[in-house]
Amino acid sequence: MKETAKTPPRWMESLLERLLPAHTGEQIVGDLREEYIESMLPQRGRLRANLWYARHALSFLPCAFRQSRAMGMLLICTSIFTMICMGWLAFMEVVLRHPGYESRMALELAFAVSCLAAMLARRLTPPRIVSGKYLRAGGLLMILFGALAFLENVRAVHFEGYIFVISLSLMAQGILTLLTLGGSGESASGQSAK
Amino acid sequence: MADLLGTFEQSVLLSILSLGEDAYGRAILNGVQESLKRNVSAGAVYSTLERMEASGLVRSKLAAGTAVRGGRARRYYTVAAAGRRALSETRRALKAIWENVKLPAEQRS
Repeated sequence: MKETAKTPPRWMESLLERLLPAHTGEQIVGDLREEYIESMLPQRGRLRANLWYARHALSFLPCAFRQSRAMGMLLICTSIFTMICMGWLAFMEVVLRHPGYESRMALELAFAVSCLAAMLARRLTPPRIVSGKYLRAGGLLMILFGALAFLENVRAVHFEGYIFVISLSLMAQGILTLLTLGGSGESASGQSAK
Repeated sequence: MADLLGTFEQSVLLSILSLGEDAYGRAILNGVQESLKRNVSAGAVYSTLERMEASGLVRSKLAAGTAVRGGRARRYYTVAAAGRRALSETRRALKAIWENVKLPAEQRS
């Protein structure tokens, strides 16, 4: 029998090796391979053993995103951009003073503070400045408001380019916040695998 | 008083303690699943181990791999003194919280 017939699919192992940091990757891939060969494959058959392996491999995705430098840089760049936009919008609210400007300004300042918190949380490892729960809530709110602004702008008679850009930036930052800062391992507690 | 450990962290530390010298990733993952009686992802267990090692609750050392692992090394974990203290404090705090508490269901039975 070929070795590949009783080991996890090579592409899944390669993917996992790429996801994991070098100092722990080797041991984790070894542990999963051992469990696959000695327990999962004999007990469950190839298809279910592969599914088991894939689920465990995917469970490292959030952690990989959190540790990824590129994702971190992207989050920081988006945060700076969104923070400047929110500051500018809040300033314009004060200048123009349209009805209901106070509540809009408060919301825009809250988003600016949230951007600052996301940046600080990303710079401090482990992020202790803000609880992961609040960051996740902030991320979800950004996606929601970004999507609402995007839809309103598309439906409006006059399409505003800057609203379009800001709404996309809000949604992107919300997604990045969820991927790179939300949760700390235990919170996931792996309801998924096995 | 130090921060109390969460259920998941307690389960990981207790699995390491009960496994003794055989406490490496795969065995800990299975131990945690058995103690919590639910499916747990490898990602959750390994990231908890990494976090606890960074905060000094556990220590780890590498050992040679076996053929079945494709020669990949094993990482064995032990609970550090700080981890044992954290477990004792958590147990003491939980005991104090639950002392003299009877849930309505228990009172009826």
